[in-house]
Amino acid sequence: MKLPLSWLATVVDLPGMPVAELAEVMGRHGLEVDAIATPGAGVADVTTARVVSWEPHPDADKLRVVRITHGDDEVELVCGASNFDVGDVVVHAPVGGTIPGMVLEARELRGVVSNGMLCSARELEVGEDHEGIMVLAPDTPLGVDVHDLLPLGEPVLDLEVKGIRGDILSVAGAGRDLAAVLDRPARLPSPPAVAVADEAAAAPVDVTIDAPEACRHFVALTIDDVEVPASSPWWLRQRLAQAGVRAISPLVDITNWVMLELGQPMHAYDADRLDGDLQVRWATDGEALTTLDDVDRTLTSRDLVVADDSGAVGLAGVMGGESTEVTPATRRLVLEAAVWDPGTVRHTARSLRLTSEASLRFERGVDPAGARRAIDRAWEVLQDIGGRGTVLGVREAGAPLASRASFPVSVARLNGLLGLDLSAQTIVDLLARADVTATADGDDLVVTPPTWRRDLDRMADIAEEVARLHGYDHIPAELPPVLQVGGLTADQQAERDVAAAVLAFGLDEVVTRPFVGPDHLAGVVPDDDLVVLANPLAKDAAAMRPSMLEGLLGVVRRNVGQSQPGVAVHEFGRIFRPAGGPLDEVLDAVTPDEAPEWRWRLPDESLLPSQPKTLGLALQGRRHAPGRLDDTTWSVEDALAVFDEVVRVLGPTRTAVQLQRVPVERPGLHPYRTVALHVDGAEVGVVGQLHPREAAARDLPEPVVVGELVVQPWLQALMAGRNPVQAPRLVTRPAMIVDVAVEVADDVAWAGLDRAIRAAVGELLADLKVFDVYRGDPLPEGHRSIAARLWLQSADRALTGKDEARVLDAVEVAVADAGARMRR
Amino acid sequence: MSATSTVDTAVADLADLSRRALEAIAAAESRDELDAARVAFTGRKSELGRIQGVMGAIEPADRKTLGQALNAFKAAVESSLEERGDVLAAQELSARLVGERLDLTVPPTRVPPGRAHLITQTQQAMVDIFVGLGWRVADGPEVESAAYAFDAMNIPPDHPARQDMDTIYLSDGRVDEYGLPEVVLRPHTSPVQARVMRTQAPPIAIVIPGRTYRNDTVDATHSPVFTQMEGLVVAEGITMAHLRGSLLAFARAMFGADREIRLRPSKFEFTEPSAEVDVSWGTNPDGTQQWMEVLGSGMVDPLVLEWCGIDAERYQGFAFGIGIERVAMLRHGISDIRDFFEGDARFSATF
Repeated sequence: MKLPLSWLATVVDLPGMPVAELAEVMGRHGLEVDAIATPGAGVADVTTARVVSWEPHPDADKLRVVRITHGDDEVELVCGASNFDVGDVVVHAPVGGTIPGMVLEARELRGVVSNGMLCSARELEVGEDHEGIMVLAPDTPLGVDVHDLLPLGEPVLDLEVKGIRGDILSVAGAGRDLAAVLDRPARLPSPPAVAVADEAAAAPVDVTIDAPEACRHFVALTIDDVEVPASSPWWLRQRLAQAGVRAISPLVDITNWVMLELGQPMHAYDADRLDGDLQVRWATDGEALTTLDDVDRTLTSRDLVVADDSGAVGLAGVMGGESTEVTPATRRLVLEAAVWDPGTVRHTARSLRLTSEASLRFERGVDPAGARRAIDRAWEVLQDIGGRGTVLGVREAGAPLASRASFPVSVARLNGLLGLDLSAQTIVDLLARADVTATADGDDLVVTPPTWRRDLDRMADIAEEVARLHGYDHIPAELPPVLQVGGLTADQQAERDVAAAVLAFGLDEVVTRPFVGPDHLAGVVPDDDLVVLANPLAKDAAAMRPSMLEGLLGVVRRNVGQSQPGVAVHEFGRIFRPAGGPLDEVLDAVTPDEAPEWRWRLPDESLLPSQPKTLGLALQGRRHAPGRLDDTTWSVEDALAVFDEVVRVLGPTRTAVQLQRVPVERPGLHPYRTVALHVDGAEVGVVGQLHPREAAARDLPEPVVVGELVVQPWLQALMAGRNPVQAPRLVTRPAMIVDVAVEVADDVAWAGLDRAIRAAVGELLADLKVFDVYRGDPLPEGHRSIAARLWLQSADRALTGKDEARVLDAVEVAVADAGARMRR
Repeated sequence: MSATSTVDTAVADLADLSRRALEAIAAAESRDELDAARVAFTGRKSELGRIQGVMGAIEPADRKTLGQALNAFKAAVESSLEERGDVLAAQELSARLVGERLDLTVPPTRVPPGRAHLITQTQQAMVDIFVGLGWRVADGPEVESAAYAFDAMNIPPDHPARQDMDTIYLSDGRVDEYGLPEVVLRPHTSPVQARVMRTQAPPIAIVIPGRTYRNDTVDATHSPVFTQMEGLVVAEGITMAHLRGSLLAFARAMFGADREIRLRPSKFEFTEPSAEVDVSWGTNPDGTQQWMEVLGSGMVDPLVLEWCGIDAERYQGFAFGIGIERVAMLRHGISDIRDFFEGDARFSATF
């Protein structure tokens, strides 16, 4: 709501402070000023003048050479407008004068020197009109500074109206509230009641309400033989401009003026174009109406209309119909002021995507007792601008709201909510400033809000009103008493521990937008079903990410595009799958039975999409450090090391769970450098190198490694708390070291041999590490030799050569059973 | 005579040998050469062996003379060997050290630890402030029920925030009685308030950090994805003074011990009274106090408490919501919110 300062000052005496300070005071009491504009600022030395003569420019069809006078001088200039004639009073910006953004100089236009210019409304920022120059009333004195006629450059406060405070969507309403804030009296317009002309011959247009649930009150004023000037006076047009409303014609301008002043939207009908009386009713499904904006609308039975005998003539509270629009030819006028149900107006405005100054006000609620005053004020303004007519009568349907319901407010609870200690009398006095009556009833107050305060109907509302008028600054600062043990739960701490572990590997954390389009790289437990958005921002963001991989590849792409030699990033977040998909089975299988449920549900217990927390990573190109480029590139093994460590961090002990690596083939990933990560036979993760073709398609230099691990099951298990790890006794007898070399075909995975060796050696095995993988002579093609070192140790005796021999025998048999041959 | 001359000859030979041995030792340029000299002059097959052999053939009285000469020879040679050996060892070590020279001003290749994202850093700092006040941390789904996101928060079906221009909805076919989709991308972390209040009796003191979504086109100041931290305290006797006190503690911990906060009346569906909270931010050019709007807050609306099954006659509470990116942008002078979501390594390395 735009509030010109001088208009506001007609309602309340403004304190003598800079306008910015006033805006701050308002903001601290619930009248938030978004911006302060000064339309017309920068106009200087611009004065009124009369056109003495004009003639067409000798060398330009569309220009006129004009001679004007400010009283006793004569000035020649060139003007491009043609909406004036000899004798008109116009606005002259002389050489040396200024208009917003421009200092005027004598300028030659096709051979004629123009001494300044005649101004249009837009040039002085008093309106939109730029078709012609401003032509003032003929009795305007000459040589007068334009500032003496119009408050150019004055501050206009842009008030932000939140919630359902329709009562401050007007100059009078905002002024009234400011008066309450400043504890000063408000001067509200109180127009005399419209007097019906004695000689009224014809009957006024009547109104009936068939939908009282959506229309409380409807007032219609019928005026015959209406006459108004061709255009509204400049003072009115400037007010509209300041408020951001376009001047259209005097009759329409009057309704807008009243709306801006009192907050009551109005509508004007050409009564001669109406077929019979007015009726408020629900539209029929499919009913057609062409609105004032020249759009054909199709209505439903949830839209409320004003209709005549032929059909709808207006969308109630939103916009009038074109067929009964007022025109310069209008002789018989009906002015409407009505009180519409906010929800009904909101529905129509939303469903037709049609908002107007009227609908904005009705949605927030207008004063349900204010319709009649608006009618009276409109008639007053019509006469103020030099209009006249014969009042045929005022017809009303429904009734204004007499008063709002009273309700009790406990002084103790009000103070208890605010942390204040106000006396009952202080509260009563504060509320009285806002026209809320409050009377003592024992320890409580009984309060009655004024009709226009739709937002006040509970104790909490009254508390807020008291607090804002008293000032939020009076509320003290205290810490709440802590009645619990705070802190992070084990799973929340584990999330931080995981992050620390991953960071230690050198992977920056990133956050990506979790949307994907139809083309995306599948991740863990691939599933074609997506969580699809109804109103996505873009086609390539049509669904929630089913995996972390695509977003991370986007980050790789971004950094490769910035010529980074290598990228190492991770992201911790949720992935999204429709409930009941294959990933759900995995999560059910892996989550311990005693853990809380990992699914999220709606209040009716139906399932939301699955959204488990997942760690994803992407590695590309060469390793590098600040100031140093390494020769080595990131590898799939680096990714696997990260996930192994993450599982060590998440597990109940460091060794309780290990990820099994199962070679898999996945679209987009390298067929021989991709593994699924399994726990108890269920896939909880996947790691692989991008297939060369996929890398090429994405324009990413190889190698590119991606991987993800669904960590939700571990977090779920930790929600009950984490038991301290119990320390084992450390064996101090010396360890015996035994190396074994195993020759095996490439299609036999080490994981199986590792398991076989561990099982064969049994409890003597303290540790096992691979230390060499060899290909080439004398091994046959497609084979490799893997060397591993075994640490053997016993708690109760020293080991001997016999132990070594027995272990080697056992390993030989075991690896043979597993499809390999031990070299001995 | 001959015996005497034998001794004299041996002693003279020894003197000559000694001179040659010391020369050879001094000339040795490596430990191998030194070793060769040792063998050549003191080994069994050396000249020394022959001279020692004389010992058996001479008079006992001469043996003493020769013995002393032999001992002197051995002592001189050994000490010379040792001395030269030390010099050579020192030279070799020195040569090795020179060979091992590293230019340690070349940066190391070891990849340093990665950086936590600025959102994470900021979020943890914010969470830890409230954890320090004795609060807990709560979490909830990002794809959320409209009932928790809106109904519970006193945002009616025809409220503008529920329109699809603000909220991103799922198209899984589920709609409510007004025909609006039942499942949404949560536009705030507030639905977690409802989930906690429905399952936990007061006292409640929690913060809720998390990802949130709005139907905003990406530009420098808008992001369809952003991060919020919500706070909620519900217990008997909680007042707006507790709201101010908690947020003052937060502002000072986060922005500086000298900060003040300012509450301004505002309007949120889920709180009444509601307040915008500004944090003092230096001075304006005209010397007046500058304030930065940082968060929204208020006393939990009784309708919200009741929706969640909490007795609004008995319990009161306050709630607030802070944009984590906004806090980070204010603290670190970031002007483009897109920087948070592109994963540019230069951004990561900055913080």
